[in-house]
Amino acid sequence: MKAKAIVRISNTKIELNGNVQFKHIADGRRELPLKLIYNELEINYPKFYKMDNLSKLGFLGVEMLKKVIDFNSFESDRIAQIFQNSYSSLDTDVVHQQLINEEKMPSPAIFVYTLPNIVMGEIAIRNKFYGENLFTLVDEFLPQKWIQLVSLQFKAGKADAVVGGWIEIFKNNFDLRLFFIDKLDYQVGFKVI
Amino acid sequence: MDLKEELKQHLIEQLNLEEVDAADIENDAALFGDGLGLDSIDALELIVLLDTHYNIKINNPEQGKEIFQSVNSMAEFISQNRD
Amino acid sequence: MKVFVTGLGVVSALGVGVNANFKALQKSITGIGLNTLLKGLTEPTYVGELDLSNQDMKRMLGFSKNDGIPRTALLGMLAAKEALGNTILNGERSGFISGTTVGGMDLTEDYFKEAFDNEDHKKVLSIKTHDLGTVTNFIANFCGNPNYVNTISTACSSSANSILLGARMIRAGLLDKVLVGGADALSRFTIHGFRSLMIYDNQPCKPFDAARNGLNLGEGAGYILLENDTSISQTKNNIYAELSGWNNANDAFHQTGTSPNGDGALKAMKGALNAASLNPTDIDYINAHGTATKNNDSSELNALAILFKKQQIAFSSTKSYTGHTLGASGGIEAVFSILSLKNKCVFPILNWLNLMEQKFKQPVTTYQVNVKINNVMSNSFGFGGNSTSLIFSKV
Repeated sequence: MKAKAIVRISNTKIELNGNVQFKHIADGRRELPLKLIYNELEINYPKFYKMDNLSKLGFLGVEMLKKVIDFNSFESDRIAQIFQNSYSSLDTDVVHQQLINEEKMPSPAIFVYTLPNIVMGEIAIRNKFYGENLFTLVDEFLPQKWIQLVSLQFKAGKADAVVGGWIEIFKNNFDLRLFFIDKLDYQVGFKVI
Repeated sequence: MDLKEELKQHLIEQLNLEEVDAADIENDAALFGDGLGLDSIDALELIVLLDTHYNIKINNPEQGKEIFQSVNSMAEFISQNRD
Repeated sequence: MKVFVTGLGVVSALGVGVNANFKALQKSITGIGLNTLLKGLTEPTYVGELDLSNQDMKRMLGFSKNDGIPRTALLGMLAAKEALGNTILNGERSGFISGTTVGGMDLTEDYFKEAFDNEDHKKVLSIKTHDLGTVTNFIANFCGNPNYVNTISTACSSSANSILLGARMIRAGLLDKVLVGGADALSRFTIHGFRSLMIYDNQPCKPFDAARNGLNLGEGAGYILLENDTSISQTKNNIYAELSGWNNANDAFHQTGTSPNGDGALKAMKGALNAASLNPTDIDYINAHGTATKNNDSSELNALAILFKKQQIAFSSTKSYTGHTLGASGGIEAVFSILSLKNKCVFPILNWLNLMEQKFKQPVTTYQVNVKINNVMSNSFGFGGNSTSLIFSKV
């Protein structure tokens, strides 16, 4: 199965299909460059600022995919999302927990993001994806296992494309490996860069 | 600081309105709907704001519709109800 | 290839086991009451709490009282054990897929409280079991040695999606038998969170009632065993029902709210019907998601009205018995749906008084038996727009 497009965002790498993007941003700096990437992409979507880091990361990854993929060539309920990570929504969970520990009023805006699948909700809202969406928790990213879920999706006839992959974030460490797989490419052997 | 100016700062901070300046927020402009485009979660955050900064507790989220119409209506409510 | 349900296991505020839960449902006895075991809430709260402590459950399962096992795993093991019966979950073509949102949170939040108050506190081992995957592994290892193990976390549709994925894997020829469902324990984390969203009722919840005021959280676990013919010819298990249709869709509207007409819900239900090659008129009873929040029930009822139109279809929400069990709800309600199918009965909503403004019929409010039931639909709609619908059919 060939990925039609791949986005990588990590502390030291921002790449689209293997090509470095925004070189000046990913330099292993300690703060997350998510806001900087948002600015570089010149998107006008104020709701971005309300998202937690996991959602921001996934959202930006898909915005980068849009530079090379035309989502409009697919029916809105035929693009599925399949994501995985090992930390779930821990990056935001700890913030919510801290408010409880300090006996402060919990923040509804923070609590909303204490579920890992909300990132798929944000991507769906932005791009009007009405298709299937699955989030699984695994210890590490094993591409073949992820591809198996993608194959199942296509075999079941429920999607014409899948957006997803590995999306991990905790404190200032983050790792997004985002793939766009077109059903038409699914017979060919898969290569993960 | 003037209560309304203070409120605008709180709004920007609490609701993550990063691209908005206090000067951009008119006192009588609608906060919800087309205004600042706030949604139901923002309304709940404003309830937290009233409690945290002004010690006013709102138990019924429906009350929010009237109170949070604009900076003016918020300031009026706070003046009438704060300790 | 048909997918059959050959095992049921459930734990909830109604008790441990299918029999205990069924009896309560038949007698309209609710499991919702003020919290007793869960401590440290800012005020007494209506919850669907199981009357067994972690120590009680460890004893029931044969664990030592010093074993650090989170409540979610204990609930899960009780239900999984019942669902499996004598079936051994091992072999290359066996699997276990579990949905959860809370994971080991009960131990972790206790750890944080103590660590916060007392810097010398060193029970750090209690947080080893925090993450969702560890809870799944606990239950998987307890059940045998399933080859394929996965954890799904998609909010309130987690265990329904586990069931969906398991069925899909059987149909794809990857597995022959798979235990699917989910578990979630009560926690201060979730109760505080739902209170901050102001959708938590200070009284027992009233699903689909015009005067409804929010949900009550609950805890529990629900698992079903899915097998194909090949597996059944070996296990010789009895068949409870066929899992005939399933579908998942995204509402794409808001992070936590649902679209006014329940677009995601409608897509999920329509998709499940298509998958089962059924029409709306073939559905005899719906175990609705029905959390009793203003938003969900309104969206869901609108979606039901659009799909079922003037059909006099029986529907209810069993969350008035168990509370909203979050990640476990799909699994628990799958079991309840199958009980309805097998016993030709429909369970009433409790606390219902006022018809909602939608032009749709009222829910079931009294227990009914000798009902013609060939197909039951079970809905689970989670935050993040994640909407799943399952259909169980008589064999």
